[in-house]
Amino acid sequence: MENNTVISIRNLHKSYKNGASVNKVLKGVNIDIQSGQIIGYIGPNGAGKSTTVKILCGILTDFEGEIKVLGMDLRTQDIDIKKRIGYIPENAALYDTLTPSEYLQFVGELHGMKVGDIQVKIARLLDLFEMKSHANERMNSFSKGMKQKILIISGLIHNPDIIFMDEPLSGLDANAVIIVKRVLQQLAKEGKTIFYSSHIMDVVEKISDRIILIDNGVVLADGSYADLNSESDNESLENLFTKLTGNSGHSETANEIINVFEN
Amino acid sequence: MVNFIIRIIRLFKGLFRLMGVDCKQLESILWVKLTMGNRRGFSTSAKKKDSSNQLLLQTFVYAVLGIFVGTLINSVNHTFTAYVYVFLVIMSMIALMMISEFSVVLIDTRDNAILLPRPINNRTLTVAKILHIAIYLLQLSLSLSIASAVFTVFNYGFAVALLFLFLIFLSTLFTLFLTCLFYLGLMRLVSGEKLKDILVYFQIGMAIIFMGAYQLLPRLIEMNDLYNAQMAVEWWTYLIPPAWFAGSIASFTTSVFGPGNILFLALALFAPILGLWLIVKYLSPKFNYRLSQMEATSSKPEKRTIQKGKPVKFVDKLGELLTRNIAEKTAFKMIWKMSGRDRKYKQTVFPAFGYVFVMIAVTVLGKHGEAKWDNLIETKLYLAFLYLNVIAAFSACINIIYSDEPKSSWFYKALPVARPGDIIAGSIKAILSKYFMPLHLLIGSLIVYFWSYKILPDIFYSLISIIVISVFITASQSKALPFSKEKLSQDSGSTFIKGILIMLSAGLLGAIHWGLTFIDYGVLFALPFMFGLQYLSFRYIKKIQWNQIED
Repeated sequence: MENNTVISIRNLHKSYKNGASVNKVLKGVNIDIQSGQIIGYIGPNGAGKSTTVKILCGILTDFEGEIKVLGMDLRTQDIDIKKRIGYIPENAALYDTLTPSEYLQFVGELHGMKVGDIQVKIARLLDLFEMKSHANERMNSFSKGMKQKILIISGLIHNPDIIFMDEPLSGLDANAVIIVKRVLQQLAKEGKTIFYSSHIMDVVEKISDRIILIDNGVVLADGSYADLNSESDNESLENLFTKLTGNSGHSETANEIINVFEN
Repeated sequence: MVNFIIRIIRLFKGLFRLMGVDCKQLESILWVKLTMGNRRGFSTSAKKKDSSNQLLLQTFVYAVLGIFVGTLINSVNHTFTAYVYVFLVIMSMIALMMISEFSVVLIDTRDNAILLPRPINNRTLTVAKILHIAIYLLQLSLSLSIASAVFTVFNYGFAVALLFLFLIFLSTLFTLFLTCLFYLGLMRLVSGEKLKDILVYFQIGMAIIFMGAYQLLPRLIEMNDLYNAQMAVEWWTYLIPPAWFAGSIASFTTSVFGPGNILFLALALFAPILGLWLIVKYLSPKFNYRLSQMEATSSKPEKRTIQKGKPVKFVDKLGELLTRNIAEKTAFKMIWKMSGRDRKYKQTVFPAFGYVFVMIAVTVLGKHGEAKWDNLIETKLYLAFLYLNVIAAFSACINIIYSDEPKSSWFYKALPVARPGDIIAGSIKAILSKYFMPLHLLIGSLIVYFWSYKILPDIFYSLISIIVISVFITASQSKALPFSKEKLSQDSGSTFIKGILIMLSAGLLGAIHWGLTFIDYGVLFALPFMFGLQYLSFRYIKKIQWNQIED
């Protein structure tokens, strides 16, 4: 383990039980992540991406294996870890009968921030994300993109060292996507680590220092985009993804779909 | 109200700190949870301010209900028995309301993404959840028991009334323990989606039980027997929680402190404390764990048994038979399936089916519970039974337009459908065939059994008559596509008016029907006329144009 390793995952296993059936989602994942890296964690639907993120954030606690975050054991020092991480979930999970100001104030207080500091940050961040005029409206009428902006602010407001993101750009307009991408790159330069889980290849390709491909609970590829590219005859990330996950017959499937429509 | 509760919680800061709770986080979580509870059930309009105070309103309603409970203290002669009644009613009401009203608040899987990734220690989270539930429960139980406390002051003095309120507090804690056990038991047995299904059926059952109890109990129970009852203390009495609390009160009012009384006092004091300790130590962490698992397992596709074979073919054939064009037939099949799977729809409509039977029982039982079996056949009460089914037909029709996710109905407008009236007609035909007609035929069969087959024309006449009135009133009031509108609290008022309108119309149709029974073959001759009206009513719906549709 290198000195600046901020996340260390060893032999991570996770299963879901549903009645008598057991669904093995993670089957022995091993990853080391260094500080200041932007990790693109990619994989098809149901690969185990969200489960990994939920375990690392302390949401799912019954896993097998060893995880250290910022040098601390996730099982025993989860509160200390949670103070220094931020989580931006994929499905606009927020208490939407609150207003953005109320919700962000709540999140800030849970992270032990001072009330005055929270208010200053909320006002500034809402303004930068063009949400200032909606600060005191209840969020249940917000669009997906507006809710996502609030989630992004809530994940960053306490200035965490590691930021876990699960499809953070879904629903955002083009301007917001550009801003968030730049924010992430700037945060990484300042030494923050970003664990970016997504299946949108072109964003991952552009912002990630390192790409980890997971499928069926197993890590299939791990390296920088350049490394992965050179190992696979300069193929695009999308093609590499397709090849490694064993779904290469896309053209044939597309043709068959067209045939079904036309007949 | 929320700030007032937070201020009270603040008084116990020292105690919470001793328990290892982060008081600032605790206050924040409670403020958010109570504020959200306050805003629940009101318009989701973003600009609407939090002016209406749901908590205060509920407190008032329960306080009024509590007056009925409190009168038992005055009316029942035996003190112990009176308080057993009072604690039984209050504890059952709290537990049932907990499950039916606050499941949404308790089983909030958003907590997983919002609270679990934050640096909140287990004790803070546990105490916050327990306090959140306890605040609701205490608010319910105190408002329900305030009248009983006043009656206790007048009958036994101020000190006993204070003891009564303290015992209410303890009984509430014990109910919290029992409710917690109930939820954990359910969560252990079933997965996320099934749990939600079960809770919906529980709510439906509750609604029917409340209505049934309200209407039938005064008719079935001889009030004098109730007032004069004297519950003897047997060994099994110590197994009934309301008896512990009632026994404790009786000890003080009679100043008798025998071994039995001491046992009642001990159980009343220690069982709730033991329950609370079990909740903090074992149940609440398990509850949080199950909740975190619930979302994870819910998000995995769950195998749902889709009925194949015979039932689907039956729907197709029925659709062919009852509809006239593709749009109508498609809507018929879609709404047939969706109405059976939509929890909100079932929750709103199914209680109405229960009410029909409750009201039939009320009609049969009369004022003092003596069933009118002897001369039933000579009466024309069957007409009342048949027309009571208007409740089910109307509820099924009027609620089909509401949905929790009205935005999902965008596709109607994207489809090349010339007249939205076809979709509305298809949906009304589907729900009437699926829900109203089987119920009507069931009631009809019972009527044929008790009266005679000669009533058959009346059954068919009333069937058509109710369809006509439901269709006319539903379509004239709300021109909306199925599952396309959000139900707001202000809609309840218009639903109430529509309800009155349909009951009056049904009464009128029933009266006409009753009049027809005095004419030889009157009902038979009127049947073609009713069929004509039914044809016209659906024609009226089918003519609804896009510009008439409500968004």
